[in-house]
Amino acid sequence: MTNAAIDPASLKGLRIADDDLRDVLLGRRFLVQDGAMGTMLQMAGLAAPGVVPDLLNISHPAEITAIHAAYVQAGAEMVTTNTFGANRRKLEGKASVGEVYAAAVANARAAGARYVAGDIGPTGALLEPMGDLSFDDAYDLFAEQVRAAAEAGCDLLAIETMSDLAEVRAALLAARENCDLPVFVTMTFEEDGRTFLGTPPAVAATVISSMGASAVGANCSLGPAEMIPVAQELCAHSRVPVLMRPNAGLPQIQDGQTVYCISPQEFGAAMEQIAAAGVSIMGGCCGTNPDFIREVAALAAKLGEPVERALPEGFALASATQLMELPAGSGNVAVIGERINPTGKPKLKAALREGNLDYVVAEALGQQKLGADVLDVNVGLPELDEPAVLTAAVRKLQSVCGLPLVLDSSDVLALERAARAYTGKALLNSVNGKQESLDAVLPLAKRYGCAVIGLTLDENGIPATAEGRLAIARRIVEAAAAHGIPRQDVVIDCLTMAVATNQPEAREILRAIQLVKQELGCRTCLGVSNISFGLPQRSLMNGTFLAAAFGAGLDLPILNPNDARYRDVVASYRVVCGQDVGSVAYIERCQQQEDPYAQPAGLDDAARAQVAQGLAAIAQAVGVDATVASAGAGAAAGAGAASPAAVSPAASGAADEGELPVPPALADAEEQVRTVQSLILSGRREPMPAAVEELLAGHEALDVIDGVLIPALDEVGLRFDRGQYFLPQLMASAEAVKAGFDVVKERMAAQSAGEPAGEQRRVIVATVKGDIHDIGKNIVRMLLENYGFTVIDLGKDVSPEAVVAACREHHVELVGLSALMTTTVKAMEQTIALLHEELPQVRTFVGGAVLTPEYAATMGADWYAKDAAASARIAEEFFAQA
Amino acid sequence: MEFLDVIGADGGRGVVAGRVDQPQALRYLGHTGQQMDPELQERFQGHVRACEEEMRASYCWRILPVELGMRYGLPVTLVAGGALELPGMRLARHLRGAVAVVLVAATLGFDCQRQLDQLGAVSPTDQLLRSTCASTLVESGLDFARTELDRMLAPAALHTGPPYAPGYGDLPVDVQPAFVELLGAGRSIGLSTTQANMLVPEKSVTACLGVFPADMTPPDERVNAVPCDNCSNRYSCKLRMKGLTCYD
Repeated sequence: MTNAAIDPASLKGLRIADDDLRDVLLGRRFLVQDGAMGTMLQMAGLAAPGVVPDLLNISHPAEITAIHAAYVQAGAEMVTTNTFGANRRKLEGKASVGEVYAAAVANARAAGARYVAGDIGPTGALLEPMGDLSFDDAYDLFAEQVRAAAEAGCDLLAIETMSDLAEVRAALLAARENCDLPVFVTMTFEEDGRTFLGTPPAVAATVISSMGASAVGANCSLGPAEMIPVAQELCAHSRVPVLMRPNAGLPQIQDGQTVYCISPQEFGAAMEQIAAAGVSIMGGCCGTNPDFIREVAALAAKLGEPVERALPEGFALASATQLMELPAGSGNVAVIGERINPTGKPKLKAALREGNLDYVVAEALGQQKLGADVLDVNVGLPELDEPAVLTAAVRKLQSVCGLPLVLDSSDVLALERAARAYTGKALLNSVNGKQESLDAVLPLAKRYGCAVIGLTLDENGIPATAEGRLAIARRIVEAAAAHGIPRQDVVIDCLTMAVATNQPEAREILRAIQLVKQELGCRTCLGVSNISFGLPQRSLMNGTFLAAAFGAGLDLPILNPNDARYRDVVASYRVVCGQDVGSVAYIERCQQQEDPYAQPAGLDDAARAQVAQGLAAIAQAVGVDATVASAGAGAAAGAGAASPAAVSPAASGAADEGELPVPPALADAEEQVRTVQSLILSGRREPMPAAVEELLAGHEALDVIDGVLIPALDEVGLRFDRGQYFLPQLMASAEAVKAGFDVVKERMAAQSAGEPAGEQRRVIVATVKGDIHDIGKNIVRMLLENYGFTVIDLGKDVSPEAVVAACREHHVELVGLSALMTTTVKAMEQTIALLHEELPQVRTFVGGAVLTPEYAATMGADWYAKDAAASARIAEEFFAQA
Repeated sequence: MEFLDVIGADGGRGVVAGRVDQPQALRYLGHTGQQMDPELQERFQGHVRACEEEMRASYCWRILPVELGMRYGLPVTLVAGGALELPGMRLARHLRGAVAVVLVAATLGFDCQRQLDQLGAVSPTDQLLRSTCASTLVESGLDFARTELDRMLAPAALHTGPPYAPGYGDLPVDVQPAFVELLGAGRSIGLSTTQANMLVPEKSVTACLGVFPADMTPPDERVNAVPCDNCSNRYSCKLRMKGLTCYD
């Protein structure tokens, strides 16, 4: 029996050398690869430190050919060229990429190899955002290698020893977009079962096999025994044949050489277990030699044909580090968090306009905490460059949040750019039944290996009946199939209408979900909250509709995880559908959260009064505010909300707010003023919102800001300068001020009914090009925000051009630059020079460990900021002058 | 280097849980005795716990031949017959009498990097606290590697001297890429360098240790063993301004 399940149509467009290779790509035939080149070079004495192995193709062709020939004679049908490091960056001009591949392929052909694979290893640099190599630069390096390999006459490409899924995607896209050869891709997994960058085999297999690779697998780092679980996980999640090239055991360095411990026979025996898992392409990596390959060839001959491997049929999305899976045939459900969408969210709109992606990150992490499995990302605002902003948001989110993403946009270019940048398997939102949409969006899903949401609407609008919706869904599924997108990657959204205006249609939507699941076998998603527009107690309506939709077969609700009722429905439904095995999570949840409808057991009014009295007595004894403690009696059962911390100025330690004046406008609230001052001085932010609310009652917001918050923060800054406070204390105080500030801003926004009026004082901060440290910049950002400045944070590794562009776009005339090391301070000089040239009215302040006032002056900066507190003073000075 | 037969290998790697050096972390934060509010104290402790429970330091090492050379009249330490050249008087003095050199690297990996990046987006205060704790943790990984090496070298009557890292004193940081390459730290522990010679992931360290006969008085045990006078950071060092040092 063979892997009969791989569809021959999926090979369309590939240039395949012969029928046997075709059978390999369909999983019907074994393919035996060669073993290590590096080990053989070491044994031949050709691998002294400082030698570039790839150049040996040109200087020692006969020796290289001999190594290839030894593997061919041992039974390897496929050899990989000696071009592991043959990219422009690593070659450093010692030879051209074209020359090296030409020589390498010639050597492999001369050895009589049946199939020659152009080998492509990692670039040697880490991609952004953690490293400094851009995706596009990495793509260019790989594209050059791909073209050289194809021109030199390779039969296929072998991308190997990859640790970074982002780099894999750059290489795979470069391969798919620059030649028509089959591409094998292998990643390197460490002893903890993931790559160094944290990608597990399930994610690698899912992403790589969805993106058009012809085979996916693992090489290096581990011996064959350690690789068995890796092989099993790859086989369970790959849509294409799986390939394994283990090391000859684990390495030890002896006598300056790397030696490996297992024998060829042990290797062969372990490979038999790997083949049993479903692997059909086998070779060896470090430490192997022709003897090992002889064993593998013998094994393949003995086994005859690869084992029949069931292809994965579940629904899966992935980030670089996490898989979100709905197994085939299960009733499991997964929540798509909908909060990152500017519609109806003025704060998010403002943040997006300012380029404040940290706000988006906070929304993402908040939803993750509340149980979202996947996050929808929509940044559609008319005045924004949506392709640029969506891509930036996706890049930022994927670096700090491990949940898979739904890319949500009606701008096809935005979808394309974001999908290209996303490291994982995304869900595209959306395609619909209109021909124009199908033609524009489906190719994107195919190229980038994404799943896609199909909306049941077309040129005639949204059908009124379930059958009408089904018909459009069917067309979408068929169009997807025509583009080579399998049914399991299509998610149908039957579109919720408001029941208040469209009551009969509610049942049709539910029926449509049922029909789609039955007739088409696709997953379904739904934006649930539309149902309750115009009705009171929307949350109740939403919760019931969600439960009904689950019953009809809904897999992926799109909802707001902040809504407790939604969370209740999801948690309880997961018991019904068997996802929460043994109701374990549900029971634990009930232990932590009270049922909001339940009466507290056994306490009548009299008993409750007694409890309150008792609590008040205890509170008095320990000096805690009694009203807070007794209010806690009712909420003590507590539906998850923490009771507010008691506010007690006396317990605040060394902070002495008596040194600060009470402003005349707030003289009648002296106690509340003292409380707020004390909280700021001691850096306690939890009680601030309540304390500031009290202060705001009957007073002007500006009096609170200018009279209390700012002077307290100034005092903290002074204490920091004197050494009385150290940095974490300064920051804790700043956080307390921010908490108070947020309350005041809400009040001011409510009063002026809309956006806060008045001139915004805006500052740009950035860490310069080449520098990836951001703590100092983050501290400055935080402090400036606390003083009421609007800070546009461009992040790290920011080019001079990007700083100039941001100044222009946001009309900003004050820029703060940070650089940590002497090697990156140069970029700071360049940025200032460019600003002077292009925008001479812009002023700059600079900071960082290696800077001095003298150096700052030399490079033309207007101010030197020795720390964050100084930055705040500089900003104040700048805006006072303006 | 016959002793390599005694110890059995000239390269190795490992993982260790490590400890946060709290006084050191507080020193990095500029603490000179200020009284911390209990909430802040608890917050700091939370980060100490998070680092010790969740983070692991991976390390790798390689013992290589070393000799002293000269370049343009200045001393340069030649490792592995010149495959790696480490300039500077300080390192030359640091390795005087050494029979070999060990290149070591330690890292907290990309999971730690992601945690710090996440905190940077939502809470710079917590990013700062976690980052300083993490810095001491990665150093403890280096210390652990050193104790392992000393254990291995003891039967050969040898021990290691204190670590000396690129970027300190007169050993410039631009040796970092070649250092990482020769050590093979990319393959062993996933370490790489940027164009500006910064280590990635951020919480990583590299260092040289001299291998000395057991009966030889070890060189000055102070880390990096240079007074501030020769450090490239001497005019703007925040610690120095407060009368502190980056070494014990």
